[in-house]
Amino acid sequence: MKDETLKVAVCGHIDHGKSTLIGRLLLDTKSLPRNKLKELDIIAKAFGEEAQLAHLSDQLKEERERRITIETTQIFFKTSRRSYCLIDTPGHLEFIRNMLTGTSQADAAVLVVDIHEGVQDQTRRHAYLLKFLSLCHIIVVVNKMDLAQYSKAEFKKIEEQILALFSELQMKPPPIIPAGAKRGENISRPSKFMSWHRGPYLLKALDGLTLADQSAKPAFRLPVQDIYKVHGEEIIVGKIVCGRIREGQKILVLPQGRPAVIKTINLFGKKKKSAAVDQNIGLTLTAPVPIERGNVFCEAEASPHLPQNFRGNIFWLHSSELAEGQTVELRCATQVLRCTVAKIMEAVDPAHLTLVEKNASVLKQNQAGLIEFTLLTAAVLEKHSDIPELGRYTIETDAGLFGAGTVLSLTT
Amino acid sequence: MTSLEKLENKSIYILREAYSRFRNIALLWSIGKDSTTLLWLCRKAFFGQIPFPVLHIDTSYKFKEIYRFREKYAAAWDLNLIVEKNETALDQGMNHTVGKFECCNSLKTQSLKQAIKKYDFKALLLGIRRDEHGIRAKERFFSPRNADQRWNYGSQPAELWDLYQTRLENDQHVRVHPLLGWREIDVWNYIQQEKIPVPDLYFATNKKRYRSIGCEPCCNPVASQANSLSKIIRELKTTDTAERSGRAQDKEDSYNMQKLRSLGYM
Repeated sequence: MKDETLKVAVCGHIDHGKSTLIGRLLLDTKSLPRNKLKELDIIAKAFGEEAQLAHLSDQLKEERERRITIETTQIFFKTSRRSYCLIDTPGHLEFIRNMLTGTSQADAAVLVVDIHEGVQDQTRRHAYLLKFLSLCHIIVVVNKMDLAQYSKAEFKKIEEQILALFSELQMKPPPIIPAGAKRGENISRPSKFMSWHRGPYLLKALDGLTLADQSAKPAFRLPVQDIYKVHGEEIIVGKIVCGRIREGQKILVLPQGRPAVIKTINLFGKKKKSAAVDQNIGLTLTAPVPIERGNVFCEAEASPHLPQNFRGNIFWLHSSELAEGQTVELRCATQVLRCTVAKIMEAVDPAHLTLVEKNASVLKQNQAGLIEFTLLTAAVLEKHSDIPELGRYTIETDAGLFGAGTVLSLTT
Repeated sequence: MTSLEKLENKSIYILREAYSRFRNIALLWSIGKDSTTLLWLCRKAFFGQIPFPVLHIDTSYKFKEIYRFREKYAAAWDLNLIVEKNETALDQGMNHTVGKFECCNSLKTQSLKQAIKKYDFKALLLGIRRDEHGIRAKERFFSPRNADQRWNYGSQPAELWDLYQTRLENDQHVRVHPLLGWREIDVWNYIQQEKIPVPDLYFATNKKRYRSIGCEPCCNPVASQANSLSKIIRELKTTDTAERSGRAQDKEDSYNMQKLRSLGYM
């Protein structure tokens, strides 16, 4: 088994069987403790029905009574290939923030579609959000095939809808698996009722996913998280989001553009000659330079140009509207920056994938938008596809999180 | 990076983020394996010297071994240890026979409330994990609580990527959960890798050991031969009982944990 944990978000429309699918995977991979099975029996009796697989992740009382998922959950199981962390996400519109929370942590996604209902609003919205979050590993499960007598013809109809949806979103066609989560058909073993299906069953498809190696990227970047005084020495801490750093390396402290040289690299108390992406290190400099949280350390020979404007997509979560001309505060890595919404180029309804308005004056709750921002603060931003950590942002006010988005292009 | 290195780095990022955003924080140390692992991670994150207090909520019903362990390592690691008790309730004779729910709520949750108020902590670091309990699986890394400590699980704020929410309304504080993504076996593998000391209660004597430790009257040992770290790890790979099966409060009512947690329980 590989030493890796793949995080998989399970999404889809209400009642298409997301939580049941998770229950089935846990059951089949023998990931359930004995008393959990007993607890399920007790609960099912209390609700006067057969033990329901969905109850395994729907742990809140309200979830079981209303028979829906409200809050995102993470559950573990493993196969002979690797470990998995399944992220159950709610299908209801009112809980979309919980779906985003779960999915923003995922490496891959399983989108569940009911054979009778086909592609619904929440299927579209979730597919859109998967694209929005740049999740490229997506597997579609057409669930409840038992209710359609495992019919190939029925499956083909739904398959067509799904392929049309992905093509509309300009996403690559996903593997689509006919399955029945309740009885375990094509989940952790091939189904004898659907021998017409040529592709893999779900677990085989999951085991077949390979994640891109992030370590090969160039150009060192480290957003400064904090500065500690330890034994009279200033240690600057942060996470390397790109590239490598070594002792003696010349850097630029952005956005001010001050030059500095790395004196020591400290990884959790141990001195290192060099460090690489994803490591949370402590640095000292050869000469004192004014540093604060939100500065970004960059390789001197490959430092970025600071943008004046950028174009980003955004998903708006709050009931108040985002208006053209409004000034907002963005958080990107450890930076806090102020921007003006110069133009709302598009407002999109992600449920119907329809353009609500070109050059809109406002963006409403649960709409997605394409926005031209003008920066009022000097900051380091990168395209999300180049360096994700410096290409994604949230919009916050004192009342909380209002929206989130990613950088698509920059103008310097 | 190995999966343990990934978990370690993510947890340390979260610890530093909590300290950077709030400064006035405390680590909640129950002396169990998880919060001791968290304490270890803090020592690594802050280069040996933890710049905030370590808070022990003492019900006075903990195992003797826990008190011994606490004193030994508070001194060895030069911790700023705060011990908090609900003296009023203890004076009035609160104990588990009154009712487990009442006892947990009074001696743990109320003491915690008391400490937060007294020291005006803005954030608390807790070693809870998603795989421990279905209700804990619903948590965020940064989870806001109101002045009553209530966890409003029905309307938790969104938490995207690693851009954790740290703005607080008046009287709110944040529960920070750096170990949320760790599994029980990850914790033990890390304890073995790092040689982190843990109380002896976890190791089998007379074919019994504790898998989860807390108050003596409410913890039961499980049948086990595992008297070393490697044996515990081997045992966990094959077991089909849950980690907290020795804990009394979970069994009483399937939703007890939800109720306790919504009132501010850890």
